[in-house]
Order: sequence, then structure tokens, then C-alpha cells
Amino acid sequence: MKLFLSRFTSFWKNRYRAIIYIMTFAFVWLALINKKPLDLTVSDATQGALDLVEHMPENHRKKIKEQEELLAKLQKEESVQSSAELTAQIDETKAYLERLRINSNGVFLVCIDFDAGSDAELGPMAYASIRHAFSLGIKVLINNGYTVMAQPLSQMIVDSAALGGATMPRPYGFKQAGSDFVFFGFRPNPFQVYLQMGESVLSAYETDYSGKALAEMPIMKGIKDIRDIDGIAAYSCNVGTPESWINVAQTKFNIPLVVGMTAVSVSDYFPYLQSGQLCGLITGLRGAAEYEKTVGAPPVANRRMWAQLYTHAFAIGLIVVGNIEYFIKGKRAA
Amino acid sequence: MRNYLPPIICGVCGVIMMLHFFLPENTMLYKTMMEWVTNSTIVVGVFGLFIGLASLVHNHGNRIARRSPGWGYSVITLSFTAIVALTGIISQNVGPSVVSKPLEKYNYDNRKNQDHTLITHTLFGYKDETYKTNLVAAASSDAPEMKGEEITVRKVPLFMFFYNYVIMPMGATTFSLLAFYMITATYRAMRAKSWEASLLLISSIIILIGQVPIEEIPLIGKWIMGHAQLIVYMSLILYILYAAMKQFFSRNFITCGILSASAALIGVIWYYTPADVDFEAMKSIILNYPNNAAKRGILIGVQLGSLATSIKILSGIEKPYMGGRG
Repeated sequence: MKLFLSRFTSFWKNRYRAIIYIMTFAFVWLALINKKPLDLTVSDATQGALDLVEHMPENHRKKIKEQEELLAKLQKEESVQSSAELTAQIDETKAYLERLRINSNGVFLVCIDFDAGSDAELGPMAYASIRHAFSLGIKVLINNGYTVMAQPLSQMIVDSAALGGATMPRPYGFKQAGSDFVFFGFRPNPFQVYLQMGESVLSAYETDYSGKALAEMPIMKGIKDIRDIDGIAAYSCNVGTPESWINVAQTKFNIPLVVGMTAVSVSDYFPYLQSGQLCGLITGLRGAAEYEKTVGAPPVANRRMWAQLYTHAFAIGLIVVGNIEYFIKGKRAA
Repeated sequence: MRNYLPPIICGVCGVIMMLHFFLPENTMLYKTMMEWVTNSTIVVGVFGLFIGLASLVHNHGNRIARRSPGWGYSVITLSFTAIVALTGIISQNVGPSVVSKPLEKYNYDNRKNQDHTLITHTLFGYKDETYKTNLVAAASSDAPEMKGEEITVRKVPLFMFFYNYVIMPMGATTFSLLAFYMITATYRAMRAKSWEASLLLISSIIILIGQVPIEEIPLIGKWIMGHAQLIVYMSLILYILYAAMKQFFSRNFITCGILSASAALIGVIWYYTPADVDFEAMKSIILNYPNNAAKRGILIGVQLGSLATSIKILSGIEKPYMGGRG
């Protein structure tokens, strides 16, 4: 027995890395066998992100109503006492109202800021939220923040969401670039680009990713600046990049903001969620799986959760084994 | 002049960027400043991309010229930089052929009764199971002309071929390697070597369990979660009693007493806790309270530091943009 233990210890000491690697690989492959979606409870953070999109058409209609009331009030004031300032304000309100009515269910901006490395985790959440917006008849704008290599990936995500809708009941339907969504692509210095969007979206982005002029697109008739956008979702794999949106969109222009991060970086954004600067936070693959389950999107993240489940369980097992080994042998050696 | 002009430009631009947060938005000054500064920085950003490319060519070119160790990798880097850039520039109609097949016909009356044919394809032939990459080609503006229900052949732009079949898998592979390193790290590093390390260990286990539905693991998942409370509390009590015993043999009777009392307290808490341990709720508590407290402290510290650095840069005390000169 002693000899066996000694041989086993020596074997494990020399080959534990290879054994752990092989077992991790095996667990990931084992996850592919499972077809059954996991039963997940939706967290408050993900629910906030869901609610932003879910209530967007309703909030947009409220906005229209408020502007109509404001216009009526201003016109009443003008009939009593006319002034150049009042006329200018009326014209501005009319133009704003007209823009709001063009995209009558709201406008949702999705900032895709990740590359292939994080696509497994962040791709499903971006896909599910775009699909969710399409299903509610919301117009979607997509841009890239700090990651140039996110451009082809973003094009793939939005195209598959647009096309995938063809088999779904209306108002989803088949979505067309230019009238239902537009993909802006990447521009250098994102913080400045976001600031410029506060002035004019068309001056920040003149063409879409494929080079077509934005000014001629039907969707852009209803969008002048960032205030015409009803909500923003920033999906990023880099800590520090969603802060640009928090600074510009949320703090300066008070636009509801949702952040989706990889699970390893998400803890940095809980303070923003608690302070109310974010209305939702999608936490890695788990958050994506919760989102797609709620909106009825294909269970891509949910199936990937099986791999995460097995590897997490394996990691816990290894921690336990490591600590037992440490208490039996490690302290004596130390 | 060379020493004075850059700090003046830096200071003026910095002050303008600060002012825009305080100026009324509808003023001409605000609009002019914003337009000028934002346009300028975007243009400078484009130059930055060229500088990045120039730096890449310069560094790797030097390594090749000097035959430095690993210069072969530099050849690969430069070659693929050129190849991928070229594939982005050349026509969209140049690329490998793929087989496409009609997937479904969809009629939607809100778009003037048009029929849209969806197709699916893969690079290596038709597959029943569609994947988003396959659907994309169908959605793109250069979708092939469909002739009834026939299978057709089309070209995938060469850049998209490189992106889908080279860049995407390589990026994903590099990132996936992390999983293997992290798993071995959990075994080697996460050990209860001290009281602080034990806290880290316990919270990380709670986060790991809270992030996934452990009860869904076939055969053992439900048993583990059914006995989770017993496992967690017994491990804690045994660990604390072990520490207390060590203190007893070291003749630290006060510490031993405190640790034994802690073990007894945990036993009492165990008695009054509901039978089901909600790891998700525990995870939320850790993330929402201790994590937020620590992160807030770090954030405030970092922001105060960056404010001090910004003031030093704007006032010209520090000039990192001059490469150490001035």
C-alpha cells in the first residue's frame, strides 16, 4: 500500500498538469453531449437589461406623448404672445416629434466591442438582445467602440439576427439594412465619436460599414443625435471601455445604459449597477443564457453553459483535492 | 518653440474638453468647440492607426534584418498583415466558392408581398444544420441569384474567408487556452495557507457554484446540492477546529478559545439556516457588498490619481507626449 501510494504520488507530481489538461478537455467535450437546456433563474442584473428593451416601445410612446403635450402648450403660449424664441422652440419640438414618430417603437444602439476570443461568451448576448429588439419592432443601430476586429463579427451577428427573424412571427419578420437596422462600423477615438453623436450622428458616421451613405437611409430620417436613441447596450471584453458610454451617454445625456461583460471582468461594473448608472448588467455566459431563455432565442449560450458547469465543478474538485493534499503533505514539507 | 508649442496645444485642448461638460449645449461656442475638437481627435486617431502599422513594420523589419532569435515569426506576422490587408482591399467577388441551397421561402405582406429566399451554405458544402456564419453569406448584399430550388455556387469575399476560418478560430483558441491555465492554477494556488487565503478560497468556491446550476450535473448534481449545507458547514467547522488545535499545542490558549467559539457560532448559524443553501443569493451578496466596497475604493483612488496626473499634464509639469524631452 505504501509503495502504491508513493508511486502514485510520484506519478501525480510529474504529470498532474497533463492529467488536468486532458480532463478539462474531456469535460468540455462531455458538455457537447447534453442537448437539454439548463434551468436557470434570471438575476436582477439581467432582468434590468431585459426590461430596458422590453419597455422601450412603451417608453418611446410616452416620450411622443410628452412632446405632443409640450408642443400644444407652446402653441397655446404662442397664440397669446408670439416671440422669435418661442417660434424656434416650436419648430425644434415639431422636428423632434417628427423624428420620434418615424421610428415609432424606439431606437436601440448596440455597441459591439469584442473580438473572436470573447465571441463565445458575448456573441450570444449581443445576438439575443438584437433579436429581442427586432421582435418588438425596435430599430437597431450597431457600432464598434475600441475593437477594430469586431467589425466583421458584428456584421455576422446582426445579419444572422436580421435574417433569423424571417421565420418568426411579425412584427419580427425579415429585417432590412437601412430601414430596420444599420451597422456603422468602427471609427478611431470612440470617446470623441460618442461625444460627437451628442451633436449629430451623421457627422460622427457618414457611411455605414459597407460604405452606403447614411443620410439616404430611411432609419436615419428619425435619428439626428444621441437623444433620439432610447437605450444603449455596450457589450465589451475590455475593462475600461464601457466607461466611455457611462461618461457620455448616461452621465451627460441621461440615456439608459446596459453593459454586457465577460464573467471575469464583470465584477468591476457592479458599483455602476448599484448606483443606478447602469439599468442592467449581463454577466458573462450565464447572463447571456438567462437573456436568451427569457426572450426565446436559440439556446446557444445555454448549451455552452454545460461546458462551464462541468469545468466549474472540476475546478471546485481540484481546489478540494489541492487543499487536502496541502494539509496532509504540504504543511509537513513547509 | 519646439518645447513650448506642444504643451500649449495640449493645455488648450484639455481645457476645451473639460469646458464642454460645463457649457450650455445650445451655444455656438459649445457647438464650434465640440465639432473642432472631436473632428481633430478622430483625424489624429486615424494617424494613430498608420503609426501603429509603421511601428509594426519597423520593429519586425528590424528583427528580420538582424536575424534576431525568432525572426521567422516576424516574417509570418508581416506576411499575414499584408495578406489580410490586401484581401480587404480587393474585390468582394474574389474568394473561394461555396455551395448554397434554398432553406426556406418567406412571404411577408408588410413588404409589398415580396418573396425572400433564405439560403444556407458552408465553405465545404451544404449542411442541414445552419450556423450564423452560413446565414450571413445569404444575408449579405451580394447573395447569389437563386434559380428556383436549385443548389447554386457563390463566392465568399476573401477577407471574410480569412476572418471566419483563420482569425476567428485562432482568436478563440488563444483565449480558450486560458481555461486550461486557470484550471491548473486553481489546483496549485488556491490553498488555505493563511486566514486571508481561506477567505478568498471560500468566496471563490461560492462564486464558482453560484455561477452554474450544479444540481444539473447528471447523477451527482442533486446529491451534492442536497448535502451542500452539510459539506460547507462541516468543512468550515473542521477547518476552524484544526486551526484551534494547532493554537492549543502552541500554547496560544486565547486564540484557541476564540477559534473554538467561532466554530461553535458557525454550528449555531448552521442550526438556524434554512435547509436549502442558495448559492446564487450568496454570490449576489458577495458581488453586491464586499466586492462593491472594494471596487468603489479602488475606483475613487484611481480617479483621484488620474485627476492629479491630468492636472500635471495640462499645466505642462509632465510631458509624456514629448518622449521625455522638454
